[in-house]
Amino acid sequence: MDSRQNKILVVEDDRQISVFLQASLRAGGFQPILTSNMAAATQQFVMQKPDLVILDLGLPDGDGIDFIRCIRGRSDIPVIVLSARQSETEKVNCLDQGADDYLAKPFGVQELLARARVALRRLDMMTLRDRIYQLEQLCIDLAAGTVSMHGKRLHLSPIEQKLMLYLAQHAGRVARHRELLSAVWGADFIDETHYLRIHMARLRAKIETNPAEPRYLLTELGIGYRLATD
Amino acid sequence: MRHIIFQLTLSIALVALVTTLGYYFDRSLGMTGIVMMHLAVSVFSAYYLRFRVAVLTSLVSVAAINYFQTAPRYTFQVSDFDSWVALTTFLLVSIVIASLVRKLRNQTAQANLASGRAAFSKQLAEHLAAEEDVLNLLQTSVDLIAEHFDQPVAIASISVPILCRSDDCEFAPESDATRWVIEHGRAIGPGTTNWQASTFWIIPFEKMPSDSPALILEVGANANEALEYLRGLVDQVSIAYLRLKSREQVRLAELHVHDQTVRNALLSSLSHDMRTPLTAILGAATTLVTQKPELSESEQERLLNAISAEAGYMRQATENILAMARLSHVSESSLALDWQSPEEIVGTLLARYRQRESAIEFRPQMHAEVLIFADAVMISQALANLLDNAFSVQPDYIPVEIGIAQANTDLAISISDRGPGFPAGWSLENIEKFARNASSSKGLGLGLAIVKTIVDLHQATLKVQPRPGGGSTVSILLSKWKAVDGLSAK
Repeated sequence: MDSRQNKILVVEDDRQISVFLQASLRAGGFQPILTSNMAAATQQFVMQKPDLVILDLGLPDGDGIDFIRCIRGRSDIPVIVLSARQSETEKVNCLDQGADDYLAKPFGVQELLARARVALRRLDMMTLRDRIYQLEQLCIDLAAGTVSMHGKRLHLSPIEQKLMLYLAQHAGRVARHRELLSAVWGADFIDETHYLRIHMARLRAKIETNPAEPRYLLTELGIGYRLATD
Repeated sequence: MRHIIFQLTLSIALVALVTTLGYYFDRSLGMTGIVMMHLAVSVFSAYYLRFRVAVLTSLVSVAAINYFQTAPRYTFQVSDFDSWVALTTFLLVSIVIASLVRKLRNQTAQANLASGRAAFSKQLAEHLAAEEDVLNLLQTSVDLIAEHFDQPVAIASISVPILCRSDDCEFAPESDATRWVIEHGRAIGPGTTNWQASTFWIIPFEKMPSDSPALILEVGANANEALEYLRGLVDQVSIAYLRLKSREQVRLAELHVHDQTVRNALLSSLSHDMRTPLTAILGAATTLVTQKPELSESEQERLLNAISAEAGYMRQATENILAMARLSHVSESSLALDWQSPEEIVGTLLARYRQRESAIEFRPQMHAEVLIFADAVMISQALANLLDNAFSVQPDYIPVEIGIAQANTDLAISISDRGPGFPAGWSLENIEKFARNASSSKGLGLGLAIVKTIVDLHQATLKVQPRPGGGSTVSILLSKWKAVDGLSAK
């Protein structure tokens, strides 16, 4: 990982939550920059050039979604959304608008730090020359388009391979059902979720030791799938 | 036998026939026989033809007898006294008979009408008694009355111009008139004291101002006698209508009371679920803030652990409250139904519970890949509640089991524990009642109420069974599922 401390821009208007975020992020080895509204966040974003944004959706001067839209115009910076809003459609909407990840309140510190690390690593991954995903026994070479377990190349069907490569390109991030269907099968198939379920099950059968408790191909119920990065 | 010309022709023809017979068989019939035949024609006319025609028939008969039979023949002169008496008596007798028959016939018609109405009224009453639904009741009444009167019928209320109508009904009654009738509780139409020129009768269900409907009948030919009868029928319909209405109100009121009871039960269960951990957290936290110097390191750690553990429990309680609040607005149509993999759903639960280091074991009993048609998040929530219940009674060292199996035509996802089992007298039907008494066992009542709601939304079945060797198995039986073993997905 990067030797310098990663800067994390925290946009959160609740003081108690800010206090605890600041403490836990610092303890986790990050450099938090605290802001409590959109105006200050935009200013800090330009001045401090953070590596990651942790964003609360309900802000006093606007909806956090607008902030994502605003920064997505000029930057690929990972954004993790915090929200007390519960529904899965809400989460999907956030991801659609360009958020990288979503944490529902209440969340644990460990969970937040893990997600932050994943998001930062994805940024590293995207800039990697050789573009190789490696986690324990699973290795995916994005350039060559190969998937191997225990160093042995796996035989995948064309659909399975496309799925696997797409997830690897976005490793650590949730890929939504519709996003996967459209990327692998095409835009006409975005409602055919059962294709996705069946092929995910077959991929898991080839990759996972115990498909019911996947190590790599994680399920985000009602949202999509995520390729684990740690 | 209605047409007057036909009746006249018939009577003249009969008289002519009898006269001809008398003319040719004068000797053998004799005067008495011929008069008797004429009398027979008069009686026939009196019974089957109109009164005036019957009287005319008698007069023609008298003239014919006079002309052809009495001396001097072929004149209208009557020479002897006997003939005078005979002719006059004949005329009197036939007119008396005609008027008697007319009376009899009217009485018969009245009796027939009355018995027909009584029969219809009985038929209507039988139909009304059988109806359980207000709209069906009104429609049945409209159909029957329209058929009986052979006139179009409709039922209207103030808010709905036509509640229901007979098939042949094409009129659009004036809503102002209907409104007036209902608001005053008085009928309008011919024979009433209001708007006698109307071509409709509008008769209110209630004879006082109300918001009950009114019946509208187009006025037919024999209007005058029908009104009172019609009022009687409307009364009959009205009584049945009010009976159903009041029954419906009672049912709604009972439902409301039931809702209220359930809500109170859940509320008391909730406040227990919330207050207990909050008390623990507050106590531990204030102790740490105010008395930290006096506390040993291990004591401090114990308090911190308690805060963390109780907060975790409170998180679950909050999830349940939110779930319950959300579920109260969810209808079947707002579920995110799709083909879902039960293995994936169980997988996410396993991951979550493993993080809490709960002992849990997944034992699928199916080899084929299966998909269920369900809302994955909802099903996962239901299973999480069942798991929480299972863990609250499970001895620490034995894992809780999750199974997927085919049960007859359903797919069963089940959670099995080795706890004490469900209390005696417990049943799924009184989950709400149980919630009220559940304050001793954490969250059990509310959790199951959530499960039951989700299961009902999926038109699935919840089944609770004791387990051989102790404990219980709670299963969600889903009817919409498919095996995709040989499926050639694109």
